[in-house]
Amino acid sequence: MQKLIRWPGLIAFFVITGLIAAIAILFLDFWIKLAAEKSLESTTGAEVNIAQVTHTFSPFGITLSDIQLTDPAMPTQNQVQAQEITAQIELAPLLLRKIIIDDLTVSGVQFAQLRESEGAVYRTATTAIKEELQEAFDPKNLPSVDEILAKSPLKTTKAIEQTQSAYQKHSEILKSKYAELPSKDALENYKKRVAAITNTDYKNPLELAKAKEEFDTLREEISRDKAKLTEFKDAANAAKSEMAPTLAKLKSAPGEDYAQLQGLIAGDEGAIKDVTTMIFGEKAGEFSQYVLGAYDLAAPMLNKSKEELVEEQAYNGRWIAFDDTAALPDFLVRNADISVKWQSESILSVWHDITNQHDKIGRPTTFKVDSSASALWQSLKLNGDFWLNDTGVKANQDWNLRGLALSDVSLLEQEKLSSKLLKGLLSSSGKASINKNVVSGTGNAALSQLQLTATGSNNLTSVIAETLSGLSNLTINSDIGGTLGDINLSFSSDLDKQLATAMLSNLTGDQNSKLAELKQKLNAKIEGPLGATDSEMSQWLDWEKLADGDLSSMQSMLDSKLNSVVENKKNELTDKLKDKLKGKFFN
Amino acid sequence: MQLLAKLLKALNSDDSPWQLAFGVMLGMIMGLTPFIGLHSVLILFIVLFLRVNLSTFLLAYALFSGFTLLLNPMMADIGESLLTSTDLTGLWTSLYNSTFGQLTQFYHTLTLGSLLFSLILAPFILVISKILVVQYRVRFMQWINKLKIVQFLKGSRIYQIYQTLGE
Repeated sequence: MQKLIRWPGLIAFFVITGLIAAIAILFLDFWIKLAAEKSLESTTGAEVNIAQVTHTFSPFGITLSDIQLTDPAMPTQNQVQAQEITAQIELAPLLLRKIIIDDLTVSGVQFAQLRESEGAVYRTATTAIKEELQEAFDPKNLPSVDEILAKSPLKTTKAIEQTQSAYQKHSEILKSKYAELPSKDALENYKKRVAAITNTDYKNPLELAKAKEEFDTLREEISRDKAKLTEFKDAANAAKSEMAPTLAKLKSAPGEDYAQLQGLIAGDEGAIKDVTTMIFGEKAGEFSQYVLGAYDLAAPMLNKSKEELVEEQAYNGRWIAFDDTAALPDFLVRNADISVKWQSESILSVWHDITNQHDKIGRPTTFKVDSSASALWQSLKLNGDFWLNDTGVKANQDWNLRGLALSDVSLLEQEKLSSKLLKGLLSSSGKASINKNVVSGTGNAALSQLQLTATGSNNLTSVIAETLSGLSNLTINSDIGGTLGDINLSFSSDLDKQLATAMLSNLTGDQNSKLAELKQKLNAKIEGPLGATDSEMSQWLDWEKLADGDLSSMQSMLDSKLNSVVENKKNELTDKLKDKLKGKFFN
Repeated sequence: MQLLAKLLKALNSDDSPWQLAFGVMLGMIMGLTPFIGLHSVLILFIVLFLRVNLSTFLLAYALFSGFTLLLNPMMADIGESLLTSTDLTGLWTSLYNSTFGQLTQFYHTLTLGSLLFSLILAPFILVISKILVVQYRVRFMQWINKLKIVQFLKGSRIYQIYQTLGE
């Protein structure tokens, strides 16, 4: 037995296992920190810093302090940062590779805060909006008339296509029906045959009966040709009724296009048509980060489940669950309190059932913000839920913000245009929903008691600045679209129209000549199709007149001539009968 | 060089062929299965507590770990088919609900598949290793020891260190 056992080996075993356990416990905080940073960095695509991680064993929990997620689009600031995250984690499910957090507390969440040093970016950010704005405000970048015509979806082009298509359709039908119509000779022949039958003096009823039979055959022939004439007339009427509004549209299209495109000559498509987005879009985008922030949480969770799937496909084995604990998702936060810091106020949101596998728990993640009056707003309410599964995300959200006091908000700081909101009150409400990752929704933001200041450095931006400075109220409507993780917001208001009008009254000589060129080119576009269609239309009308004449002459042939013959004969026979009867009775 | 010296030292030692063969077998199991798991602790305990040859264990562990690159998909498939078999669901469920079952992590397809595969292979590896060690010692040991490369190795500092440690 002694030969089999190695007693020092037993000591070595305990020393090795004890060392492994000690190292694991000693470096647990470091490993958690490393894992959390790497995992978040792969999700956000930019540097993530966690200052400190601590843990407790009973109950098992971890605390992360000073978490900073670099904004990949602007590495000098954090996309989001939190003062502290505390999580109480269930130990037993950890053996099943399931992270079940009973209570999660996130405090001091702030968006868009400056970093102490620039963070590293691992994935390239999308094109900076500011560069686009610079180009939009530069009058040198005005497009040529041909470029505008080529890029713009013109009503004129569409009207030409519609006219040509309608004309082609009816032209073929009318031509084929016109070819089937009886010729002039055929009509003359009918007239002659009818006259021959009706002008003959029939001596006896037998002859009359034969003539009647002949006339019926003739009548059938005439009726068949008459039907062809009627069909042609109907087709001509249908063509006229469709072509008339189409031609009217074609005639009015250049004018409408001109009205729409003149704004492009006056400034730039973006600068005039989308000024609301340009001036208010950046700040509204930041505001929407708060309102639609829940979806930013949902998007990486969806990616996470996809990544896990890829990992499984790599075939390093997978974990299979067998009993009712299988109902537990891989990641679940039962209750969470997330406190977002905004200016001097703290907004507390309460979350339940945060997970990426809602099918397993059978209920959605819900979140709620119900903040009463504060120094900054009168009321703020936000409710929402989301459900993630294999088909994507299904989510609903609504918000209602009343009387948010705004002051000294820099809206735009560009070389050619800068604007600042000195004072104002913001109220906003809206709804957004997601179905199979497609985001849709609407919202509105009413700005009242506005005091704006703006400065422009050229003709175009000066007009914009002047219009902005005169604003006291403004309602901005927003459309929410796009997909999860890439939410698009578009803004509109009557400010766009006001600016377009102001812009057109301040045109330069070059812009005026471009406008004239635009008008001329638009009109030239319809000249060809309009002329060709007009001449064809007049031919159709001629055909229709001819058909009308033929139709009435045929009808008269059919109706009056035969009746008079029969009537005359009838009267003649009646008279003869009367004479015979008179002779019998009075002789 | 280091591995070769280890192997030569083990083969030329006074350890019994079974001690060497058990080292190869346990190293094979450890190498083919995932490192983290209760089975690894158990194997480590056996290797250290019982007089299993450590050199052949470490060599076999390194060698068979390399084979996992090729064998992992096949072994994961074995585990997958066993764990998803409806006939065995009752057994897996009861094991799953026990602490022992949770600690073994049998419900990981690769862990179960590779453990089963290596356990089936174990008796064959054990017997073949034992035969090879015996045959080596009878037929090749003297001839091998005469080779210049072996003499060079035996004269190397690494071999001297192993020799000293073994005494």
